[in-house]
Amino acid sequence: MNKRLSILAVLAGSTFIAQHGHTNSTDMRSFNPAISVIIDGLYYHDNVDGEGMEILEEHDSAIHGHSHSEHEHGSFGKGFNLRELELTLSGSVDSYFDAYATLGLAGGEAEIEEAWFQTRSLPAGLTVKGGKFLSAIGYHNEKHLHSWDFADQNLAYLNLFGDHGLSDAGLQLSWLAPSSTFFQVGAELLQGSDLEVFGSSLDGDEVAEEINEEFGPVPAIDEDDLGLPGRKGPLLSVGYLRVAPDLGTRQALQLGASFARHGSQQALHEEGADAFVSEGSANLYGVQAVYKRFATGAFGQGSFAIQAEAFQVESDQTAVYHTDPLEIGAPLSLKQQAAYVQTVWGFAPRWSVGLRHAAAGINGELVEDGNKEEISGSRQNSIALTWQATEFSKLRLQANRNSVATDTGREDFNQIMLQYNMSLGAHGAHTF
Amino acid sequence: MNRLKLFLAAIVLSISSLSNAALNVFTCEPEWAALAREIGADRVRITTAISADQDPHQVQARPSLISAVRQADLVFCTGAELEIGWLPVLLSRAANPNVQSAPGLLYAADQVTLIEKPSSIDRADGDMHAAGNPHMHLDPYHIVAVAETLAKRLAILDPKGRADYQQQLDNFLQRWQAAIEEWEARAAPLKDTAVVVHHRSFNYLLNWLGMHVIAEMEPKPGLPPTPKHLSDILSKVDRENVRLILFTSFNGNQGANWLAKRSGACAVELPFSHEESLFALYNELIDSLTNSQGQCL
Repeated sequence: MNKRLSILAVLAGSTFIAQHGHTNSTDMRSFNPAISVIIDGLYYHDNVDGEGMEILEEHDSAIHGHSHSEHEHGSFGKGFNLRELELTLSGSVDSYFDAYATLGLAGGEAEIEEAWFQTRSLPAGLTVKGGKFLSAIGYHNEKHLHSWDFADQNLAYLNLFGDHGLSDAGLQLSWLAPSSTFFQVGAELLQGSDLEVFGSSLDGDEVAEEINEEFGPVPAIDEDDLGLPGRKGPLLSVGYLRVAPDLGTRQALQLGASFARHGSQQALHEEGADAFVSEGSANLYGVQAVYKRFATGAFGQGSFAIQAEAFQVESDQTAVYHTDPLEIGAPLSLKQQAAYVQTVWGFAPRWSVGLRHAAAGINGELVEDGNKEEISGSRQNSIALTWQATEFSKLRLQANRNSVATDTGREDFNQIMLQYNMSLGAHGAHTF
Repeated sequence: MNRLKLFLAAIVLSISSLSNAALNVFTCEPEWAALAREIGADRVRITTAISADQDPHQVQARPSLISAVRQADLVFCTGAELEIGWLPVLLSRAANPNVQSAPGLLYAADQVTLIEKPSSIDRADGDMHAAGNPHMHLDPYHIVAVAETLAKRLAILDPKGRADYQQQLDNFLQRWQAAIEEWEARAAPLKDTAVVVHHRSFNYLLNWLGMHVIAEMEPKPGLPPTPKHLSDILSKVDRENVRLILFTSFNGNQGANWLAKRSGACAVELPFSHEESLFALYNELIDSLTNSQGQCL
């Protein structure tokens, strides 16, 4: 209730600011903060009774992410879905700081997607960002839903970071080299205690209860018996590097690599009559390449972009709890890869077509006390046709063909989405 | 390992290659690069965001631009929201405290009075610029005002070059005034000519030359021409005996050719900017207009 009230207050306040700004001055630069409201929704259909998004989220993976019901605004069902209303406030705090806040409103719930400040006047090419923000890991991770080239999150990101990407509270330091070649290195220290897949944690109470109900250990266990370490952050560190040569005014190329380490990846495993809980550190390695050729004609005609990212995750864990007490302390190691490649071509003024191939669970394996379990891979092919009336509105028709490995076997199914995305208020940024 | 060394060496080289000129100037549009070259000559090293045939509204904040702004001593752009989609991104990501405000940041549009300042802003009216029409580089008298401010700015940022900048300004203004007189003489027959334009790109030029716009092919600024709107214009073209239909490369020539084919008027592609020289830009503009007038009247 409080959440809703405060949203109303923010909305009311923003209306006031907007009107106030309107009467005083017609110069947009005097608006502070800049306000934008983005409405995103879609009509969704699949041939698995509307369960398509759930099947995708439950694909076979070496990392057993726990399900966060409050995060799942990516799960849409058959028919009309108002996916998200995104409210963004941004501007200069003073001559030293910029600040930015995005609230995502979906299904009656409000979530702070991002709320951060960033320095604008540090010397030597340094920038510090603090607050809750989308990590600079990878390339696609920093993009908000409204600037995606496809209606849904790609399967590789879904496999590692979840529907939203990796967003957390912490600090980021980046350095931009004084060279004509763009060369940027950065490091982040993030709390890491509320992640969806990579770095995900268990709720001790819930897990103990689940084990008691389904496996009936005698005596019944509680949270303390699980032996999970207290999750005191910061748990996640991220490093990234981005390099882009100057290729003139008509095209651009950016290459990048990133690394992340999480101190406490946790999972609950169920194996026949036994269950066990494992915990340990996890590492993630990523590489990316993005090439864009800019439009030569009117309204995006002739633009072309191709981007690809690949990740590998590795984790060494130990069984901190096992229904068979002799197995406590047994080692568990896992690794798997995920990747996608996508391309978008502006074939006519206002019109673009995108193709995407994504894969998750590639070369996935879970080695538990010497027993190797191979993970089955999942794949997704997508095609999207986008009509962008102006910079502020777009309509998109997308079809996915999925082949998803699940606990109960392989599911091959199709999805179709008709998405609308409308942007009110401040002019959007043309970020690379 | 060797590759890494080579790579680091390349970065060090690209850093050291910048040290020749006194000032690094980043310009958003090529016309300001041309002006900065006139006033700064070899004391400035210039990077431009776009080529002359690219639309300054539609630019992506690509990484190399962020690097260029990172190194800039002066960021010199049109302003008036022309670059609202990308310049704020460059300024916030470049981590360069020297160009966040004056003297390191210079907006040409702030030096002159803009035309077509709307009394209200509603996106339903198209891509409106609250500050007025930003395409002010096509009025040669505005260039004078901007050149004078630029010379002062360069002198503040590089006091050792003060005398050079003043001399280059005087030299430029002398040639520019002479050129204006010549252009005005050559363009005199164009006075009172009615034209159709694609976008409001050339309104400063047309005002200067005493020509007038009877219709815009865009139904609203920033929206592509529609068949219905074009056929409305067609009747106007016939009624008012319009001979010239003006567009620039990034507008696309479809609308202009459609109208020209049905009306007997000429579709004329005008340059919107020039990477090398403002004199060349204005010469080409006046040449295109006078030649096509000769052929079409």
